Amino acid sequence: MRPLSYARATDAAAAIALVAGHPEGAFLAGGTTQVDLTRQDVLRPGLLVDINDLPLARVEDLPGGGLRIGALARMSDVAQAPAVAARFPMIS
Amino acid sequence: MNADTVSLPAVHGSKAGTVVLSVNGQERELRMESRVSLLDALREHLELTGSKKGCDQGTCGACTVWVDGRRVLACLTLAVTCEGREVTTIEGLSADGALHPMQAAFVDRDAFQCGYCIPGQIMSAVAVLKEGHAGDDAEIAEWMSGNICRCAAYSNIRAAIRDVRDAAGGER
Repeated sequence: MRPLSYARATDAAAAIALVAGHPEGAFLAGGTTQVDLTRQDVLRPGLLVDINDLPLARVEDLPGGGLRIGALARMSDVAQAPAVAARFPMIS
Repeated sequence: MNADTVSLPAVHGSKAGTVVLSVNGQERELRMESRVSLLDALREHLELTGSKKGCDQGTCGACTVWVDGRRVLACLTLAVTCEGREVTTIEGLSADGALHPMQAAFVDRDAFQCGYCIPGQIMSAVAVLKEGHAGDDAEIAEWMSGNICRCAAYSNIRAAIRDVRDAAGGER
């Protein structure tokens, strides 16, 4: 893995500003894909902005029957969410 | 958005810096680069080699530890992201050399052959009970599916989990 810098964001505005302000900035949520592909040299972030302290783990119903899945919702939590199991079983 | 109005957090540069980790109840200060995985921090920097490096790509589960009580794959977690959180490894599962009930159940049930995957299996097994995902064998198998055992000791691993579940009076 190449050298990289790291910051932990305390709010969404700071996270966006940090990523936008760095030519190789990227968000870091659960890391399953970001860390794996960075290690394999497929992704080459110079700065990872950790968003794990942000309140983005919810699975919310939207008007019209849709769902909004937060960027920090773990896949196991999404699979278990009642609305997902009932209406979107393909991703459960 | 005007970035000038946003208060930005400190950036850890790409060079080695100080990272403070709380592992098994002990604060440990390390010097490492931001790119170091939690698994390498545990094994190479803290000499806690119970967590195993099987695939190093999040596939096998041999590196399973808990961060703030939740099971995670240490190979896909950057150590620096664990600052301010509590990391628990297989070494911290029980105190004073006594076996945790799940460890004892794995021994009783002979729930392994080579044993390489077992630290991760046990960290997941204890978590599965806490999560309430051990109602029957199918549910245990589903929620243990992130932990691969190439010796295929699965039936005995499930038996060990059932034993601890039943000894505790059902799911916790």
